[in-house]
Amino acid sequence: MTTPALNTDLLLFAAAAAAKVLLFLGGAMGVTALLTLAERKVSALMQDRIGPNRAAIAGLTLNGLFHPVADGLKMLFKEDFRPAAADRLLFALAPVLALAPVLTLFAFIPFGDYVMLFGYQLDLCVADPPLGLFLLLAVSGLSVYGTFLAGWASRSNFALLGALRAAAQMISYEVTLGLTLAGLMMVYGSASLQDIVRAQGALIWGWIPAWGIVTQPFAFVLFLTAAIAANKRTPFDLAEGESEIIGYFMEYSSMRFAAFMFAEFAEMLLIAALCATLFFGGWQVPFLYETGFMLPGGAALELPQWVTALMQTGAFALKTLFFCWLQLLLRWTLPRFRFDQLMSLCWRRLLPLSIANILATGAALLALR
Amino acid sequence: MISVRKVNNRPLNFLERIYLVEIARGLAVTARHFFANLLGRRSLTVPYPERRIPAAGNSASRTRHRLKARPDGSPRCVACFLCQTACPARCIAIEAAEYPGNPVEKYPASFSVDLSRCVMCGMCVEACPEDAIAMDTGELPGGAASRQELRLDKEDLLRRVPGETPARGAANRLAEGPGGER
Amino acid sequence: MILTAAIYALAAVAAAATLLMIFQRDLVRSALLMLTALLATAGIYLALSAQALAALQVILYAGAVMTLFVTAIAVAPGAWKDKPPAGRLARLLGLAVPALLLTALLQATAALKLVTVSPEFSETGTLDLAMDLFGPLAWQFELLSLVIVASVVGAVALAMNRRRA
Repeated sequence: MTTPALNTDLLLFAAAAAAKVLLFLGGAMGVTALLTLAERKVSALMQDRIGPNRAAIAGLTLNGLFHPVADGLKMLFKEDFRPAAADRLLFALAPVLALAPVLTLFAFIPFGDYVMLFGYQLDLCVADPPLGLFLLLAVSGLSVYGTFLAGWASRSNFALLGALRAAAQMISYEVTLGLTLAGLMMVYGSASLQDIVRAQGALIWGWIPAWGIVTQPFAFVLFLTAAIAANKRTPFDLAEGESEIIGYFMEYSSMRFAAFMFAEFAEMLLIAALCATLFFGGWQVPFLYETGFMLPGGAALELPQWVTALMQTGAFALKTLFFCWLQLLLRWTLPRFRFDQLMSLCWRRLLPLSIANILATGAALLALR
Repeated sequence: MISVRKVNNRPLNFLERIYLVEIARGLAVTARHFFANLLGRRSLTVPYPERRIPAAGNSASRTRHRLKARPDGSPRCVACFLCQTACPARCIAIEAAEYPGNPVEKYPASFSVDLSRCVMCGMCVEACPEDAIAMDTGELPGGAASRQELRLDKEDLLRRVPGETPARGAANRLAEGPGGER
Repeated sequence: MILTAAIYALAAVAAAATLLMIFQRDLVRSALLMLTALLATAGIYLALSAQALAALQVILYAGAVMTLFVTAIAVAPGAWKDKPPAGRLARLLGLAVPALLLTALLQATAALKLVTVSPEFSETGTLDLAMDLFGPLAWQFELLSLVIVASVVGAVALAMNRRRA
């Protein structure tokens, strides 16, 4: 580390990492803000309405594109209310604890393979730890603190009840979430997300891409269900229940409340990105390899490396957006579960099924070997 | 007697019980609406203050007020203040004035209705002895950017609806003299 | 160099959080300080490139055990009351026990040899871990599951009792 050459490398690495964090996290947060608008627009379109289209800058509405800005400004200028008996420190800490794990998790998601820049190979992933899946579960398990502390710090019985309900739900579904991912680890033989995505580029029988949905179709359904439940969204949104049920962030207002909402929408984007990464090939485009397209028939199309990288990142973005849309569609289609139904679904249906999935995967792997 | 209708719900079959197929069917319905609306079929919603449509059918709802006019264009209102007194929302303000040389009746120098306060109860119409105020314009009030726009003056109020034959009043008859029209 | 600095900083955080936890009277806050200490320890593991240990530390201790602690503490009636300051005897005891533990810990660490890790050391992934767990350590691993089965049976028995009552 004393030689200047090493130092430049270190600096370059730091600069590249900072750029990736800024670009990817900034992009993720921008999309999250747009998701708040998409939620309203998609629901409007599904219900034959128009949706928000009034917020205007200089008379320009762009069909409602400025609504996230207006919402943010409105939240900023609302009264920041705190109950007199609330625990001041924890009350301020809870929104941070809700938001931080979700934003951290974006670091593990590979949004492309690599790109050659000025002779350097730049991996298109902020962090690719060899045990990424475990770290993913570890960090996502921490998001329960934000939820629980929000209820606890408000010193309000209703908020505490909501927090207990939400915490029970999140902890229960984290278990299923972890077990559904075990099957993937067995199939692809790695816990690194980048490795899993690379392994999904292989072909079964020479023409089917070995995506997670092909090798683990059952796990995908379980994962999506458990992930939506852990994120407390409809049909499992009885932690907040918008208008009917008293939720854990009952005493929150202004930007602190917005932090909870933002965390929910960011997690929605995260779930979409994870669905794409783990089950739908991540940045893989079928038959597209480093050198270009190679169709099973033998036809090939050479492409420059940067075009390939661009297409792969684009494919990842498209897949992610599709799953965001699917979650919005699910939300506005399904009615809400009752709490006992929620718990029995988790412990009596999803958990045994996910364990059975592991067993079946193991048996299949053993039989195929 | 309460009539009781027994519903014998068919027990769910296996496919319905695992819920996934039914979810897919529900998603298909909502997705169909989504794409139909995305690709052109516009919703029935009217962007209200900018675009207005006539009230549905032969709707007899109470709508924006108007003051009926006599054949010569003067208001039928005689500024008796009964509507102002009857108004529970106190949204009517009248200033009375006298016609020169007319000992029979007054007229409103100004007559304003504050639509931002009006509750559309129709009491003013009921109270009017001259049948001078009506709520039959078919316009739905509201959708204004300022309170001033919701304040109707005599000029805004005084109008005829199509097909109405204006009735003459005491002041007309007085002006015409005993030899005039009956 | 950066890693060494990170390790020392995280160790300082862990130590400070633990100390604060001991002197904190609010139960939930002290549980959160313990969480901080656990997370800082996980950070040290990460800096020593022991990812599996870090992940398991966070999943098991921060994710599962501390969640249980915090939830249980928060719904306990004691957490909702202001507690009077502890008596002198309780204070003495409270200081004596950690002091005793600390001396025992120091003795134990002094007895341990300093193990240096080769610089190439890094955990390669799940496969090696699984090989170890289900190969030479299989017996111990399966024994552990007995503990879990026992606790599950115990929990179910308790819940059944309460339902009947």
